[in-house]
Amino acid sequence: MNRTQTLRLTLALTALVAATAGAQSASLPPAATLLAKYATAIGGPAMLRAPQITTRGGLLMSAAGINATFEMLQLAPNKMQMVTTIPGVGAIQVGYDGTTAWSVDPMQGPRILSGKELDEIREEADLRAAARVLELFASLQTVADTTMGGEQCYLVKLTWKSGRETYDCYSANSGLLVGSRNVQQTAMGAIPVTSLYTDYKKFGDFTLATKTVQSMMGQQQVMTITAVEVGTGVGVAIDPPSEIKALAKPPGGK
Amino acid sequence: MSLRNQLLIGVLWAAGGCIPPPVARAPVPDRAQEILGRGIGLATFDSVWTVVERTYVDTAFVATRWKSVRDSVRPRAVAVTTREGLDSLIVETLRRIPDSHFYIIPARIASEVRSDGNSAGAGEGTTGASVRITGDRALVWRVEPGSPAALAGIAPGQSVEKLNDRVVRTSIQKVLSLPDGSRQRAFAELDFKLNGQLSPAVGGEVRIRVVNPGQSEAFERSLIAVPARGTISKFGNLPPVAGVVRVFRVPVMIAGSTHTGNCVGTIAFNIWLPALAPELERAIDSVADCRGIVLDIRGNPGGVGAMVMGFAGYFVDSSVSLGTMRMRDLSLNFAINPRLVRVNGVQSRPFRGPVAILVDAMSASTSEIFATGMQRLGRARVFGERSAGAALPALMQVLPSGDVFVHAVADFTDPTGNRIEGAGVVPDQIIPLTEKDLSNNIDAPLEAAIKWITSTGSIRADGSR
Repeated sequence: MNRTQTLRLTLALTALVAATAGAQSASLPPAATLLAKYATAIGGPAMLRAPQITTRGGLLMSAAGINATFEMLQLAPNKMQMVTTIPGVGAIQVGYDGTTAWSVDPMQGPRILSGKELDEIREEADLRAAARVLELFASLQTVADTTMGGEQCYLVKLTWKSGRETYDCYSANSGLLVGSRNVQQTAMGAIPVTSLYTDYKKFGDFTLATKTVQSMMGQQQVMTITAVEVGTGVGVAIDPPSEIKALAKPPGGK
Repeated sequence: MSLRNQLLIGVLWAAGGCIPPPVARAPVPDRAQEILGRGIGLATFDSVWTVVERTYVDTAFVATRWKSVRDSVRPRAVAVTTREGLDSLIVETLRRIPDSHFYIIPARIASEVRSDGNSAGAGEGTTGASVRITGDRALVWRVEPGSPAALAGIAPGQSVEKLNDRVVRTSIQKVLSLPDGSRQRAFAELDFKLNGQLSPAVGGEVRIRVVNPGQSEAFERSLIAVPARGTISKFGNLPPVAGVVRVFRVPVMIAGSTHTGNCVGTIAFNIWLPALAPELERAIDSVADCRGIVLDIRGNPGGVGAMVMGFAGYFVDSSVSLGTMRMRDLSLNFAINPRLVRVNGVQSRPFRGPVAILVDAMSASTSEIFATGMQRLGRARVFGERSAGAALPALMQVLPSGDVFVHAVADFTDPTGNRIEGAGVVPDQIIPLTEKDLSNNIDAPLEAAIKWITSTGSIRADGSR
């Protein structure tokens, strides 16, 4: 482990056990405790040590007859690229190189993301996001003892540094993430999404939900992870596609 | 790790539905005789009813008339045992809904798996003829050179008396007897049905009885469908479609002009499918030096709605909205993405010359969203005939019967807040089809658009002059 990685891990673990200033209902467990338990359950420290993670799987929206595949590459500390290939449509690329966030699809063409879309992808691209490292959030609050996907869970409101708000629900038994609610930013506007996470499996040192059922606007899509690989990150880069590089230049720029 | 949410629904949008009901395109053999499993009829009816109850934007309709539909139709669903009976019941049920984009895609069509590529053997058939209703007649509108229709002597301007067993004038009279408010879409639906009959599966036979212009004696021909030309694309549960992009440079004389711009580019395409996106970009680039561009979306029934945001970006240089889709608890915008770069990474900019859009009664859904948006933004002038008035974003649901239910989930309003559903896009210059023009191979809307382009001052990509 190099010095940077060691420092990153140390900071993250410190943050994991730090108490938050968010107000908690007296009968509900503190949000920071729930997040720390979750991070431990999924192998958060191992995740934070990984220089490169590649995840592959499928995306199915059976009502529409769409069966896509995806491959996501993440490079520490905060780079991400996801390519989703949809039959009859082609490849949809989304990425963030630490500075610029982009989307390229055959229908809308290339876009450099800004505003809330940029905030969202920048925060998600951070490898610490998956381990719910506390320093990513402006505040946390456990807001309810509820049920998602038939499992009792504690609903936590997460206010990210950008100001966006999402909700996680952590199993009262296992501590794993059972479900979440957020508002996903798209080119057309914000779309509320509810996700349920099941079928947790171990991939090396991580434990991941291999099935995510997402509901939005009365439709469901199922995301299934089939493979996770941890790499060294050596010689691997995430760069914007050529269209995005051209977009980022001033008109007529070289 | 944190998986990025890739919402397929963002792709699907308005994918929804903008394709005419496939039952009008190609009947599925042996479907009617199929015996359904126990309880399938009722479960399917309940599923259709519930989806509408849960998602249809007209909540007043749902609260009143839709509940009475359940009360009157559901008891009969219990007794349905055949596919034919179920089809009839569902069609009757969906007819009670006053808006477009409520129809069934038969399971066999929805599950057909075809990859993009050449149309050979793909089953998408055509006789090469298309028709349009004008007044109380249906006229042959276009005939593909060398097609079965052309070889059989079918020609533009002929009046169609019968298509298979359908007496065309009787069908038109039925529509003419409808109240004003529902006539526009009913005409469009009949147009789609007639043209669907002319595009059966490959090898299918169509009997057509026509009268030549100025004559009274009819003659009948039997046409056997051949594979449709174009890029066959299958997107999700939507039926496979042969997409075609045609681009021409029409030389024009412009006073005071020397070389550049002495042409008008015309780009015609028959469907909004992502598979055509690269071809459309090449088409635009190939006429970008012309003085103006005519976008011919006559007969284009729609497709993947999300495409309008990227396509409009070839002509508009700001992220304005082509319109808004409103669901019960959510509004989304068709925000234009200005195309400042090409797929090869070369910088570009939106076309800045005048843009004309040609529409007719078979321009529907995504085509209407595009045409009305561009018109209302002041970026294009629309020529032709009023469009179908069937412009609602829709999604799909698989039913217990295995069929796929396409259902509108949102209303759509143009940038000025006007609803297109039922009303259609009204051209700036209405140009009715005439027998004389068609028989003389005169494309009056195209000619009017070219004349406007050659005579007008240029319109900038932000819509101002």
